[in-house]
Amino acid sequence: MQQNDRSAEHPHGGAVFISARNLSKSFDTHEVLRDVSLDIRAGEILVLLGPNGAGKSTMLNILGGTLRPSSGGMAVDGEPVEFDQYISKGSRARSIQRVFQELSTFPNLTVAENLDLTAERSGARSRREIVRRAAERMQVFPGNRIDVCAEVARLSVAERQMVEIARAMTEPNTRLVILDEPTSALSAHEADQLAELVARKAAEGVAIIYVTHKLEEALRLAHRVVVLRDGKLHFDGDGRNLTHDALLSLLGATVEAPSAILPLSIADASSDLLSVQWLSTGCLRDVSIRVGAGELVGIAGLEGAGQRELLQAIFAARERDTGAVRSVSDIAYISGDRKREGLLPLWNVEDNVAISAVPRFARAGVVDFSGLKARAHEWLSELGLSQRADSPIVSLSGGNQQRALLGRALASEAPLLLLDDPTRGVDVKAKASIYAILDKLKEKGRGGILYSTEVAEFHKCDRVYVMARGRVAAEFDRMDVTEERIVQASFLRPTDETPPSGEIAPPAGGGAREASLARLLSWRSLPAAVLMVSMFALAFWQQPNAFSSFGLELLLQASLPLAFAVLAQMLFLLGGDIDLGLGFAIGLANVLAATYLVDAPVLGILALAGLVAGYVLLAFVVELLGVSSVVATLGASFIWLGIGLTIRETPGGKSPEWLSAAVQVKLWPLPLPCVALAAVALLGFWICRGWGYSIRLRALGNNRRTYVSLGFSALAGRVTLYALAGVFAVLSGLVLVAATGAGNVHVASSFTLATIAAVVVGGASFAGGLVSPVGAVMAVVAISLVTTNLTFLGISSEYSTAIGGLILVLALSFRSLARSIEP
Amino acid sequence: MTQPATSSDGTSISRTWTLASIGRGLLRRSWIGALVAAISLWLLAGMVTGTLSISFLLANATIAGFLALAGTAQMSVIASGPGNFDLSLPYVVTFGAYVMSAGLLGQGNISGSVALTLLVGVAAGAVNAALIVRLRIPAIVATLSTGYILYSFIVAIQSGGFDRVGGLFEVALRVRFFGLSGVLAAAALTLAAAGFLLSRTVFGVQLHALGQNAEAARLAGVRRGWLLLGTFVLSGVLAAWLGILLAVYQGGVSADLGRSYLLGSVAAVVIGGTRTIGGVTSVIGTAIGALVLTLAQSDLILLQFSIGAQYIIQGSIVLATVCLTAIWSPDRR
Repeated sequence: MQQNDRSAEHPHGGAVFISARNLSKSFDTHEVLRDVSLDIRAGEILVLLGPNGAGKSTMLNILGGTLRPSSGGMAVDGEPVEFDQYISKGSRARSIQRVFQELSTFPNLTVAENLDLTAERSGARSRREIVRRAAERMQVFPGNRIDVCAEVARLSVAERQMVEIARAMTEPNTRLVILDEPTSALSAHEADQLAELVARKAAEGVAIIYVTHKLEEALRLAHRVVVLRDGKLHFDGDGRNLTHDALLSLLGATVEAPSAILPLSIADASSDLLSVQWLSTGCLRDVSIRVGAGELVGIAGLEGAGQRELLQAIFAARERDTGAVRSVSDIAYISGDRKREGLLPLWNVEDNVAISAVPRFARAGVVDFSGLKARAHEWLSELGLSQRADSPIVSLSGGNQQRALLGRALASEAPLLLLDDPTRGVDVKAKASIYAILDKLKEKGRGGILYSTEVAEFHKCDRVYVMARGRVAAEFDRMDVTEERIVQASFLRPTDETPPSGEIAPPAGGGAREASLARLLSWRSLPAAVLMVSMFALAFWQQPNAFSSFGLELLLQASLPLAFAVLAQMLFLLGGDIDLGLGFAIGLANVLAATYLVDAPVLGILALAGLVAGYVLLAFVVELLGVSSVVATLGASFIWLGIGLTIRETPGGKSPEWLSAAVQVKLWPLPLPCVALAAVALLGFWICRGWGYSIRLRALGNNRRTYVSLGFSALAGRVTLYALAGVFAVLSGLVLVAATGAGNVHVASSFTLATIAAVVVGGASFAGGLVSPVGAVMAVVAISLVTTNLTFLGISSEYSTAIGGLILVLALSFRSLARSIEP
Repeated sequence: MTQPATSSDGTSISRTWTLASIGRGLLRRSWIGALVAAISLWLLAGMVTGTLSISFLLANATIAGFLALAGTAQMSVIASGPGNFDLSLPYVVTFGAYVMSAGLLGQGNISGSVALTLLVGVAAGAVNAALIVRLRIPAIVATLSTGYILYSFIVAIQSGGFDRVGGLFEVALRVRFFGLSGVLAAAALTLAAAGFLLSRTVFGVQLHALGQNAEAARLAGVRRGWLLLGTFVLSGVLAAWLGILLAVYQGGVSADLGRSYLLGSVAAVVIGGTRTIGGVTSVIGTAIGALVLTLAQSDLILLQFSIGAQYIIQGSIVLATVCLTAIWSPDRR
């Protein structure tokens, strides 16, 4: 380890905030962090450098309190840290803010809500206050054009990154900010603003850890530079006198010896495995590349310059002639994002390798397993993995997993391989063996495209294309490839660049009308609203005298119980769940109310509370055991039904007088159901939008993992949702008692599916965290009016379910159409 | 590929056949708990009635066979991805039974009716798949809408007259050899065919891959759209076939015929020990799960439990197994 630490003079560094000693961390047998000691001082900008897989993320995870080290200790303000306590504390309590490389904002929340989510809570805040504060906080990027009331899903990647940075930087009581590749999507202007901001924060005494691959950023900002290599602390010293070259050599970029140069494989265009000409899609602009047999072609460039998109476009175009892409029909894709795009986690290594060869080892669709197995063993021994053939793939180290995935490409016998950052997060030894396998493939005449984030990886390539902003900025033969040239070309700015479509200023004339039309089209509840209005119109056209207080009451009475039920289902969908037991839960509430509320009110109330408690119990099962909500509520529905039948096998009982009286109240001029429905919709709206906790609930529904990583309790959220759903189920049951005057456990059995339909038509998304209570109530009214209208038209009301199904399909089709039209 | 369909804990079973490893292998089967439960329930019935009767077991197996068909249909859909369920299943069963009984191609034309009914199942599955793949609608909503539309067809067809489906087909299903009914044999053969499809064919292997990790499967060359089409058509055909068997064996149809099979099919899968995380199937497990549910109900009737208590106990069994399976699985959240 090189060390020129001058601990006596730290002109920028104040008191030591966190001091880490001898931290080590291993995953399985793979040691990713070895014996690292580091002091983090207040007011100091510490730039953390290191090649991919050097252990930076692990180090940050330990410092940030999301990972426990295997050994070693830490002290905060001189106090030794108990790791269990430290991890359970939540980032806010640790006074540490972190900007993640993978964005951790919630796309279903607005910018303002995202900022408020993590803010220190000092009493309830009004929406206006939340918006005002958000606008204020976004001013760390002066002159930005981000609408704080827009959903984050509608922002560009750069804008999301800015939101994330603004959040971390403006959080009060912050003592350490960890920025992980913060400028990867930012423009030069925004990156400048960030640099100023970082310097200002440091001057205020906040400690900064800045991780970057851009050396000029490191040189510009660093008070101190720390370099990690292979999990070890390689350098820790003053950053102000370092040069670009010194940093490069610290990173070991020039240490690696060039491999033996093979003769350039000469291939004419006719034997090309792939040729891409003038491909323009999404973020790609006029990309032209070719790959010959036996060639390994590199795609270099800064992260996010379009490399992945190019690989995906090539893969998607196989077996189809799209004009721009001509390729062999069989292409294998190997992703470095093993967990998301590679592993089949339930299978062993052998099956994971063999999956791509299954179609070739089949006759008339029936797989020849013995032939496949014999061949799979050959591939595995070629990879040196035959010992692990029967091990579950998830038990292997990252490097071995990657080798197995390469084996999958071998097994496919595809002549062209797309290698999407295949060495991400694997150690040096595994890297070497991966490259040895690639060499063998080349000898056999198979070709490949290699995309990597590490410039040093390209020395194996016969040709390297450097991409910048979606275009091919340069092309080098293997003789000309040097890291400097690649890096330099990565920063090239194409001369004929047109601004990306998102930044085009809206046309001056006619824009306003188009914008409002677009807003109307993107209103999620539009189908429900259109439906409700047209159903009302049809009803009044059929029966003009229905347009009276009494007529309205008759029309709307039927929808009231369903409206309460819909709110219950909506709360489940808000959390990303579904309640398939809702109908019988309402039936049970109905039976309990009709049986006990008149004669033994206390018992009745206790029993209804018990039903809500049952829902809380379900929340525990779903949240703590990870049981699918569908299965859990399905199981519960048997129980609701069973209890209901035990109490009252045949319909009977009576409605308490006060309850019957309550639903008979006349509120002139509008009938009660009208007012009640509006109230239900507003209540739902308040629960989803107005309530302070609702922001968190929606965040939970959208992305549970991120929610938990922010230090919130997913259990508390889920219990709240389920308990509220239980309360609404009880209310729905009570309204039914009042309406029918009797208890019957089967009374609401059609509600289960009807509520799902209504919530979805009303504008909910199954991704979770996106519901529209007003839309859902409108959908309920519309659906119950369908039945009324059918009666008016003299058609059997049994057909209303078919129309309900059609409405569902139409609403969803409309939404997917509107989505594809939107820019 | 070592029969991914039957190794439902995901890892391959050791292939060194020592006695100990056979024992361990058996213990590792996900359905072992269900098997023990089924045997215990049979013994319990024997204790209550005083005789351990094979015919009692076979009578229950006949009912369980129906449920196992529905369960296998549901299981294929569940295996295709986390969160996928087929809510149209009960409606396909009922509609299939009506089409079978309606004799639309002439009353005597039984093979014609069977073919037509199976075609209805294919169509229902294809519509489901089209909604999911083309319109990108979540499976649970897509199958819900298809179910609704089918329900109206049921209402429309209901008013027509129905005759019992007779002939050789009815005789074949009702015939008994030593207590083994023809309809049970038909169900068992269908289950065997489905098991073969899921474990030994390209379709089955790729379905398991898709269910575990859709993106990884796509990049490994699996075509999601075609596979989903196959899965939902399989589910539709199994449900329609169940409708045929019910219509003929029970000799009558009602609009409620399929209702219990929505909850029942999921319950059979879950009790069979198959996790609902996608990418896992076990036809044997589902069949045993169906047997457990049926035996439990018979026992409860023998013990003179009320209908309400029967439901409560069945629900508790479902919840208990799903909780235990979750606790024992290594990768719960």
